[in-house]
Amino acid sequence: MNSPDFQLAFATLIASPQLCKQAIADEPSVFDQFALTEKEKTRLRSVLRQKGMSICCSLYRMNRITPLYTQLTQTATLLGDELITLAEEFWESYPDSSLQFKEEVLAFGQFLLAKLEVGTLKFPYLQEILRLELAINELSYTPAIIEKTVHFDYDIVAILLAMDRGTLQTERLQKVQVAYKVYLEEQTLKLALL
Amino acid sequence: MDNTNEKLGVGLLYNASLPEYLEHNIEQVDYIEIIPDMFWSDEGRNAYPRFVDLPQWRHQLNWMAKQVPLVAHNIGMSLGTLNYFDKGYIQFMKEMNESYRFRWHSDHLSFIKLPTKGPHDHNAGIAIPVPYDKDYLAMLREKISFITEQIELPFLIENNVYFVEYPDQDYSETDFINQLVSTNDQANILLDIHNLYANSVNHKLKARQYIDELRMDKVVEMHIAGGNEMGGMYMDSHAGPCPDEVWELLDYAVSKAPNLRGITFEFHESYFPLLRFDGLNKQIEMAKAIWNKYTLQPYYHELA
Ligand SMILES: [Fe+2]
Repeated sequence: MNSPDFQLAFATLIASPQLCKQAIADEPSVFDQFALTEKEKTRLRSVLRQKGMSICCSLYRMNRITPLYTQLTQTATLLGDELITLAEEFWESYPDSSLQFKEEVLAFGQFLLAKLEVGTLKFPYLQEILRLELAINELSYTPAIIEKTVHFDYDIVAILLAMDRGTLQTERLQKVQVAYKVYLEEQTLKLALL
Repeated sequence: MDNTNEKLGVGLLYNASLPEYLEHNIEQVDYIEIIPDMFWSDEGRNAYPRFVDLPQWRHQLNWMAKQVPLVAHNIGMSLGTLNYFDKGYIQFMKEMNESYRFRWHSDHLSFIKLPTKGPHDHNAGIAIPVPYDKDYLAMLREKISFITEQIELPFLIENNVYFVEYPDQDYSETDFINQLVSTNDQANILLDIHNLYANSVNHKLKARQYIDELRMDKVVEMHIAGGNEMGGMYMDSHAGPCPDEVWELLDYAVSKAPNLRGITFEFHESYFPLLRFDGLNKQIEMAKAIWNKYTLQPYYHELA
């Protein structure tokens, strides 16, 4: 008889190459977290040692990074190589990923904003870009919401223009409290200064 | 009109790169296959309304529905998940079918959602094949019966691509699928030729033997696609044009599938720049050549 725990164990292993290594080195420390039959343990033992297991782990990561790249393009550009490190940290703390792009993007955005807030992540202008892109995410998946008012500590338009020029890291933008009305017209982003 | 056995021809799996192509080349495709989950946002089981329209996407869907027949290809039923069946999702698909009159619908022989206590299910990130065991067979039969009772359409089960193999299963894949579709007239098979090819490369599976073993009279649709290598394995990445081996296998499979109603070319939208209009037309033409070879001369292969 197959158990739901086998599905959960397999999915948990696919989500964490680290846990796969641990399961190979110290099987009970991982397998005992689940109610598995002997047959299911044999199956997991086998798949963990197959070449395809690392492919499954990679596919999991590729599929989970896709919504972040798709909806948080400027955030991804700004973070550069840091994105993968932060996404991995996020996946460790939020293993309950959603199939919905909107939820997944929102959870990652809030994870980054919380880190900025407490100071464990310091990244100039990231907060502004995130506020903008989370607003766009909400607008694109919530048709009932037509527009959003978003407050920024730096002028978001100046940030976007500097990113476009590739000079954001060298420019010193003035701190200024501004609010914009954010909306989409034919899928194109529009910003109106308030 | 009774569409029960209508043969459609060659279609495309819809993705976000296609609107412009379709606008100018709609006459190239005999039908369009859609992934319904792309057109609505699922707000979670407790939300009301649970499924919310994404207007831009729905606009495109309505346009396509006016041009050509549609078929639905689900990714979200997660039929393989134990102790779980999202009947609200099936109910929603029933309503969508009433609006769009899909010719058939389908999903995979795998699980991707795991139930949680919250409103949203956990996403396993990849579709994980079910073990081909007796209890899974019974569970899937029951779910498919529910689906075909609720939605009066052929329901197709797609063969998996897999990267790891479970030891000691009760059935082979072909045996499992054959048994699954044998007790329900509306349960049929979506044979993904590229998945089969990928499995043959990665696991030394004999693709033609697989086709010989499968109930080919139950195959209603075939998928074709391209792929590429990653980490020493051949991936079902839908990376542009079909490799030669897929065309050869398609020809072999179509020759043995008297009830085939459509061949669908799948590609990932990020490969559109590689294919473009000409490349897509070429894939469709090649598929049509095989389609015509066997469907314009019915059962010629049996006489030969
Ligand atoms: Fe497929």
